[in-house]
Amino acid sequence: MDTNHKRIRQQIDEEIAILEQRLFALRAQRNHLAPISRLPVEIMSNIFLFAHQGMWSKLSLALSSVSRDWREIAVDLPDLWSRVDSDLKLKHIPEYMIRSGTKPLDIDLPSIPFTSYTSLSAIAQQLPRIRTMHIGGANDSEWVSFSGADWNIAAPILERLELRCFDIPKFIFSGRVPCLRHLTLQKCRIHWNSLPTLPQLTDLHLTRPEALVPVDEFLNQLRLMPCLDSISTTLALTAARTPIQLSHQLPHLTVLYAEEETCADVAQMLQSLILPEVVHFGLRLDQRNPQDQLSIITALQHCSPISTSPITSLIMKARKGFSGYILECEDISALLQFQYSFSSMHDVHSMCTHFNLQKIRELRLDFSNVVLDHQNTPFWSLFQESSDLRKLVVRNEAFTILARYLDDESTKILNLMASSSNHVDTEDCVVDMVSFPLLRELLIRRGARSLGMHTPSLNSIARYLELRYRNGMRLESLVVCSTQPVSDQLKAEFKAVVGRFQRLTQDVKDDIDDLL
Amino acid sequence: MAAPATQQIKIRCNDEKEFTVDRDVLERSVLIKNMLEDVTEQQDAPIPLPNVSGPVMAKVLEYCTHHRGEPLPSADTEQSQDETRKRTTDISEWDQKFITVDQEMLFEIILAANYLDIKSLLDVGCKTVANMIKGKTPEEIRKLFNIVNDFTPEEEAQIKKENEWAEDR
Repeated sequence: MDTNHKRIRQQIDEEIAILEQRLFALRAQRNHLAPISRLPVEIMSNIFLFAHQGMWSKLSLALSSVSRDWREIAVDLPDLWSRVDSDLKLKHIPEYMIRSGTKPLDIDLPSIPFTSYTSLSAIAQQLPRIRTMHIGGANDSEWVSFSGADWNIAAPILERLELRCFDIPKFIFSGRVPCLRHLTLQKCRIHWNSLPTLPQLTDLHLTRPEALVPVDEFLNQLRLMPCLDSISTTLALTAARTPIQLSHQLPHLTVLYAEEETCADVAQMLQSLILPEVVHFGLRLDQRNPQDQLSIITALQHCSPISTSPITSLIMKARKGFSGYILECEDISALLQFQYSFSSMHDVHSMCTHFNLQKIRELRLDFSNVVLDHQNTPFWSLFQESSDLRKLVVRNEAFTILARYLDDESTKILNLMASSSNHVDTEDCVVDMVSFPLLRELLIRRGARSLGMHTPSLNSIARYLELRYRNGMRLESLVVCSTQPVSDQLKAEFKAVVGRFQRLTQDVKDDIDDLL
Repeated sequence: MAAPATQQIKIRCNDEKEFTVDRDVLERSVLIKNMLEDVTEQQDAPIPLPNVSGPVMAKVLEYCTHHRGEPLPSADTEQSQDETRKRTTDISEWDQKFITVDQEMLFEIILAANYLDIKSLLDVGCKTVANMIKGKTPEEIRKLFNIVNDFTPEEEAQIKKENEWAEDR
């Protein structure tokens, strides 16, 4: 009896297997009749590659899960598997590496959990064909360790490397990483002395001081980066507080940008650098200590001696301003672009007295923290010599000054943006600017092509536009900023206001539709 | 020798439908352009296009007429453009309206563009299908293109493993 049952069960199982096989065959046959199945493999591959852009591994997995035919095409397409990103399950990295064939790899894993560090060995083995690599720990308190993987392998095509919270081993890239152009190290420990020469490196960004320690080693290593064009640091220059033994020359550096650093640290670093070609200098300082402000003088006095090429771009921002000291630095007459936040009237007076902006083309001035004395500030003298000024961005309260400046026929301004935040939710700010009779007339007469406003009154803009268009002058761009979200309702309201001016033609309304 | 731009060429589709078209419009197709260059004497006989039907050819000609005069990609630039083209799935407004057709017609246009070697039209078709796929789950893609799941249980298990997302990484 039992033997009989066993035999029957076996027969049934065999029959089920045959039927299942038949079922799969029928399903596959049905799929072949779908219209999309008429497209040959090379066209489907093309479609997959188009779809893949921006969707990356998530889409690769989706495409390979639709049907057997689709899976076959997807798995045979190395480009679909050449990008390893966060959507991928790390333990499947080896499978991706096989499917990507010999294609250059892009690795984008900015947040790897501690438990998955062993997966990095699969990536390390692929160094010879990695083109870009962005790897970081899951949080700032963890250091990603390379232990368990051999990273001392040449990376001949690596162009971009971005590491966060990494403990970089002493021996890496087997001394060869000839194509690296962009290097970003965020809170990384690194042995600068053992790093290979980086002959093509142009951009270096360092965040947090760990990446600069020891600072002499770091500065010394910069000599082995002959193409280095730009260095930017964020919260990293505290490393410069240790004594720097030697001066270091960076012959090709043209851009230096320090963000969230203290004045003293910037000054300290500048004193140890010889930068003959720096033309773009940016400071975004963290000035929690008011005493610290004094040292900015030292830092900026170095702007001129360090650079035989005149600095053409200077961007200054600070949480509490600079109290005018920076304005005493010498020889910035070659500046083409300048951005500055005033913190006091002393700043403004100092700027008017010391600044020579003859060649300035773009000027951005922020008066948010200053109550301007319009009568006694000879502010327009700032611009009088600057006959090449094309773009002026002013924030707050300088409307009278602007009007005087714009009234001068010699000004060539093409782009003006003025804003105010003191009178939010009232019409005053725009009344000050757009309805300020002299300024309004001047804006129209001079034919400014772009107009920018901050927290404006819809009525005032509409009035301005009406006047402008009545004079036959179209506007190429209109930037309206608001502290509140610009809702569809607000836009509709604005259109309604504009619509009330009966003289506006349909063309004008179409323009306004485009501008909005 | 280059023929005058106004020369009219006759083509015949696989359903015997015939079109008489300006030569410069037809020359958007590299296939036809090469055929015409190979013919030394003027022929009255229509060029047979056995892989394209009349209605599809009408759509293709609409595209070619709209884009007549635009530079054709040269063999040199084609390879470098390939990479650039793949980076974006943007389609111009006119092309988008043009390609808003049912799926059957869309795939026929793609096949015709491939056969006639009209690279830009092939790209528009492929990008359109790519945009239909983007952001969809496998099940949604199946539904969209009338495909059924034909994986064996073993294959299904493997796919399921691959698709377990980052949570247990």
